[in-house]
Amino acid sequence: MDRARRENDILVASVFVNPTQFGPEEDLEAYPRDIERDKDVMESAGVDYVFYPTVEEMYPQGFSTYVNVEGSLTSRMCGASREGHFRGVATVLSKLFNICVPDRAYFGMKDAQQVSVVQRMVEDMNFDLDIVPCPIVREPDGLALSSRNTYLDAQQRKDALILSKSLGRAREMIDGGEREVAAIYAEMKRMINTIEYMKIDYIEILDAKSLEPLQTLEGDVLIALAVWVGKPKLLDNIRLEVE
Amino acid sequence: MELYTSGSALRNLLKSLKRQGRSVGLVPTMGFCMKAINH
Repeated sequence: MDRARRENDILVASVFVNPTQFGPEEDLEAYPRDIERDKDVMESAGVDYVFYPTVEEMYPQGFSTYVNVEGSLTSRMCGASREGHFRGVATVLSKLFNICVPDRAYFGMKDAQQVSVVQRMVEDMNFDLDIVPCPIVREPDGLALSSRNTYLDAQQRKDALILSKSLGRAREMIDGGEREVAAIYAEMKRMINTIEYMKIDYIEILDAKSLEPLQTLEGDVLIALAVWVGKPKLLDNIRLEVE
Repeated sequence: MELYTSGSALRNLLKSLKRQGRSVGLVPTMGFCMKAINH
């Protein structure tokens, strides 16, 4: 938000819990919402205009046009377990880009796959704007900030640190010369599995741009994971240049 | 800070501001409930 404020004359923030990116098994109603608190946050960040539409405003009766980014960008990682999720994301962002006519749109790298999908869509559909990826914001102890963190109980909150620690360990191994994807994958899996109740959705070691799996580590590498820490599924990742 | 619920009203305003040469940045969110509960 600070970067967006610095780089633009006018700063617009949209607040919309988008129903089309939630699956039938996902609890749209339970998604944490607090517009009064959000307004305070946005006011402090120097937002000029807030777009806070209703679902009816975004999807009026008769709405029937969707944007679908196809291929491995949306079929792997979160796309494998959340059918239709990225169609919902691409559709709502297309609408937001047309409504807000931004020169730049800012996205957190915690949802690295979302950033790749949006970049692809913008290029394919000739949207006239730049996508600006922003580094993951973390709690002081390393946990990536997420609305889903509000679902964690005290023990889960402590245990969730294993996600960022496993990514840190992967970085250490690479810095130490390890180039075998399987070895890094195995070590991350071992660390996360030390906490019995956690369930790994995926650990992926990918080319950061195409999101295609790598056999050997080199180039622009994304190491991403998604793990159920009790009820919520938390995401985290690191991106690094490997020689 | 002004709050808009109408997409067409906001778009008209922003298009008019852009015609004056002003750049627009967008931060799309589903809200800002980002901090973990402090236990």
